[in-house]
Amino acid sequence: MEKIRKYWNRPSRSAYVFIAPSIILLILFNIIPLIMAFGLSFFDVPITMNHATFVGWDNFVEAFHDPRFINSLKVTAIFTGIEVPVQVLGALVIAAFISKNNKRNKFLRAVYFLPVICSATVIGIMWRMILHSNIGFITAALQSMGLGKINFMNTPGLTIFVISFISIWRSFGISTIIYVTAIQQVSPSLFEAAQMDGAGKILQFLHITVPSIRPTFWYIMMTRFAGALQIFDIIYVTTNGGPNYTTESTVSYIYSRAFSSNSSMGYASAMSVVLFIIIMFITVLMYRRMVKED
Amino acid sequence: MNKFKKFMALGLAAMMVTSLVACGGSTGNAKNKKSDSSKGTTVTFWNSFTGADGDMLVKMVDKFNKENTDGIKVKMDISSDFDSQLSTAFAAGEGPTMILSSSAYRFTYGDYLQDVSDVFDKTDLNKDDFIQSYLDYCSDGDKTYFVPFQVVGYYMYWNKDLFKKAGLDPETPPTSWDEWQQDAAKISDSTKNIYGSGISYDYAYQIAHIMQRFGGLAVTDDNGTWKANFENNAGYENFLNMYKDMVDDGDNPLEADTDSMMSAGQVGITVGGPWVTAGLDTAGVDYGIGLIPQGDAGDMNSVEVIGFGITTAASDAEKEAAYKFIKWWNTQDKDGSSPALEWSLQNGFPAYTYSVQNNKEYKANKKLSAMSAANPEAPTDFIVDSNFPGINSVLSDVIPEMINSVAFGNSSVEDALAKAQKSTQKIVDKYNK
Amino acid sequence: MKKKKTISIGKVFFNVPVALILIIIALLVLVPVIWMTFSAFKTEREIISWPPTFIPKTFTLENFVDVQGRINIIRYIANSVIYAGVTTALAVVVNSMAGYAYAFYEFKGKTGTFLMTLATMMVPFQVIMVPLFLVVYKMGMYDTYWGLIIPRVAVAGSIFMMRAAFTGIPKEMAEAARIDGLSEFGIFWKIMLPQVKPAVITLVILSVNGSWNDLLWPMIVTSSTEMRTLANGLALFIGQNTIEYGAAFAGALVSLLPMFVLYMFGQKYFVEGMSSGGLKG
Repeated sequence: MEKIRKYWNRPSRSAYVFIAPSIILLILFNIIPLIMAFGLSFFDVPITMNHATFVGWDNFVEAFHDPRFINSLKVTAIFTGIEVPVQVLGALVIAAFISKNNKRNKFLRAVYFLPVICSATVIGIMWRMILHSNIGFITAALQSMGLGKINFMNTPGLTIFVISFISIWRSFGISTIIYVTAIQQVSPSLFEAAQMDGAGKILQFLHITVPSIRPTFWYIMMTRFAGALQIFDIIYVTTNGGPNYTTESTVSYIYSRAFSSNSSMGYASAMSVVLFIIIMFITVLMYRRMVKED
Repeated sequence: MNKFKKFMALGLAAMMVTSLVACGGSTGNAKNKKSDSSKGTTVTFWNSFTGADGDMLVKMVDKFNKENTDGIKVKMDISSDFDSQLSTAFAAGEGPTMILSSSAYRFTYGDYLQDVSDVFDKTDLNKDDFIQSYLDYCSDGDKTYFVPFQVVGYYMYWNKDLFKKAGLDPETPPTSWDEWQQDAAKISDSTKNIYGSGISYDYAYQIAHIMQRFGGLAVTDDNGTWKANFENNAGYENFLNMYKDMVDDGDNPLEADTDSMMSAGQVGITVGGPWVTAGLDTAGVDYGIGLIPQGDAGDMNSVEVIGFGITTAASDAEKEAAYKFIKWWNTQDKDGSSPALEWSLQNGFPAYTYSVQNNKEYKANKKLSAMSAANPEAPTDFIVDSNFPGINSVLSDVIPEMINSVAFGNSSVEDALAKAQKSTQKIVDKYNK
Repeated sequence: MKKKKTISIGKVFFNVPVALILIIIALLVLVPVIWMTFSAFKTEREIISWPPTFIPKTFTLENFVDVQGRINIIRYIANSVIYAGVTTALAVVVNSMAGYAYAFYEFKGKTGTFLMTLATMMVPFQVIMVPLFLVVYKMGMYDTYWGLIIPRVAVAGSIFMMRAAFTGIPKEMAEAARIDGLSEFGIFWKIMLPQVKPAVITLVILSVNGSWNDLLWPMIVTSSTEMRTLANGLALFIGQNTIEYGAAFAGALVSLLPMFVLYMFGQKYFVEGMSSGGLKG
């Protein structure tokens, strides 16, 4: 027993002990299902999966000729382009403002965190109600202020921004709090030294805060990218893709193909393989930069 | 040391395999325990009746559990994501005893549903009491997949107060689509945010019910092959043009959620299922119910039938117990009341049996009598021939794409119909093979 | 440590817009939440009415009574607590161990396993849902608490977050402890984990929150109403064709409250964690 303990206590080996539980769980409950799902992309399978016909690359060929799939990629790209900068940079700036532990900041943090703990379903109903073009509270308020009647949820071109806003509204609290955590870990002596050198707040932020929290920055960056490219639930509970498919993200479309009653699991899987490759490509690029910086 | 590594790996693998086998085995055995009688059987019962009607269903099931003398226990599970829950369970060979779903599910889950035509032999339910056209909905060839539970038709609702304000007679709703359009124009009042007509661009069922009154069914049986009817369909063209005109004139909102506008008293006339009345009642709107105005395609009584289905996961005893529940649902007590009648009265769904239809209370119910005014001889098919398996594709892809492209001005009415024809042709070809 | 406050024009130029931005964001967050809170006390008729109201004309508790009467709220909360509690306890240990390994050790296969971990973040859950269900089913965990919990323990995002937190700690600390004769696990558990307490608390809050609001997985992997969570229970007020707004909002408030209390506790520890973390210099 002692021998075993000693054997695994070597730093080079104990790493494996540390990652073993997560790796086993991830393989069992993520990787294996993932491989199974990807395997389906070469088959024509109904929702119940009771029979499958091998179709080779047909599903992939179909995907690239499907205007709704191409459109969904476009929607996803727009959405990611709006959401990621706000979540990654906006949240960082806000976090820097509220990182000191005083009453005001604690209150603001609690407020910003509120939407995070609301359920997506209720958030969807709530926003749908208050932005309703006819009986919405905010629509009516803006109208009475003389700003005209804005149809937030039913205007192609506008609604995607509204959805992006709701999505940011819902989860920017997480990014902010995680940044706050990281900023607070930065050794105070660094700031003190900078202050003695006469550096202003903005300089301190750029030269001390930002470099010190690099790992967290990459974490937020990569998870937000992966998350934004997979946006689904906020769309599902608000517009469900409308108006005229201008908010139908790739995962929304995949979901409707996989689980509507005219389901085609194989086709849905093929589309997720394409999405997976896109996300993986971006992530590996970012990972490389991250490792270089470390 | 290397040995140890190997041993560990082996042990882990063995552990995983045994746990897989052991557990898989045990669940398998549990399934095979079949008792001979339905006595003391538990019936698992899944459906998607979230909302207020689900609450009533819970109470009815509790009542059955208390009342039945066979010790049958119905364990109901209302799912907010019925399709996901059902399909994953079926994929693993699991599943409930009984489900409640649209009869169109026979095209998707047919392989997992047992034939229930023997319900009329095994219980004293009378087949002749069931209205035949609804039973037809539930079967395919020789096999019956569902026992009817409720019939969902769509109706016209109008706000009497808004009619009065517009100088219209609140007791004479539109009887044709021209009248609908004229009334809508009169009711609309942009200063008050009021719209005469409430047709949603994001509500395929509503669109379908209206559309077929204009131009008939989208897919018909043409001597044994399915035929798509979008292109050159003058009726559909008229409908789309009318919708577009009303939107352009500000008589119909460009809005997905028109139901809550109706409840808020902001919409003059709309079309919807019986549940619309619940919202209107809570909101205290003074409204009338009538049949959807007829169009050029003639008299119609389009409905969707929801039914009880027994899955292949059910043992014979469980099936028998489930039959007893279905029978109880349709059995009259000494006062002539039955759970089916109560359900109809409470939720406003028209009857699927003659005995309920002829019940005094049913006849006296204003809502139900308005709904039952439909011509019993009129065809009941909803948007496609009732035997066409591709109905869901038409409802969830073709119609939404068509109405969206017209509503948002991406294509002309003709182009939208041509595109709908093309995508329906694809679906039709799949089933014509 | 604080210097005496001096008010300069530069500071005013910096502080006023900042305060303004912070307040605007706070309002953007609060107004809808307050609207929802008020709506939970409105009658259904008032929620859907024209013109819309913000403050209830008549306060009513009927929505809460409705929620209480319609679902077995105690049972659902108990299940939610079990699901969220056990998942989180395991998640903290498993994910921070892995995060620590990726931050502190050099080992063969580091890049490979880390990228594999990240890969699990890139597939929508809806796609792997059915195969995942099959795995859980084959392991005999269908309709059990374990089937609910175990697949949700290891989360790539959490591992990544803990890795980021541990990367900020100087490696010399581990060396010093090693010389003192502490075992590798001892170093991790006794020395390193306390250093990243704020990150651990964030992980706890995120994990609890994720399970608390999780709708789909409990729905699929359990088959009986007794196993369902609060989120599932509240979903019953959102019908296919009709939504009971008042009840849905009342339910949302009921479900939000425990999370908010947890957050406030977390924030308290979070601050304490900071002061001890500040010593490390």
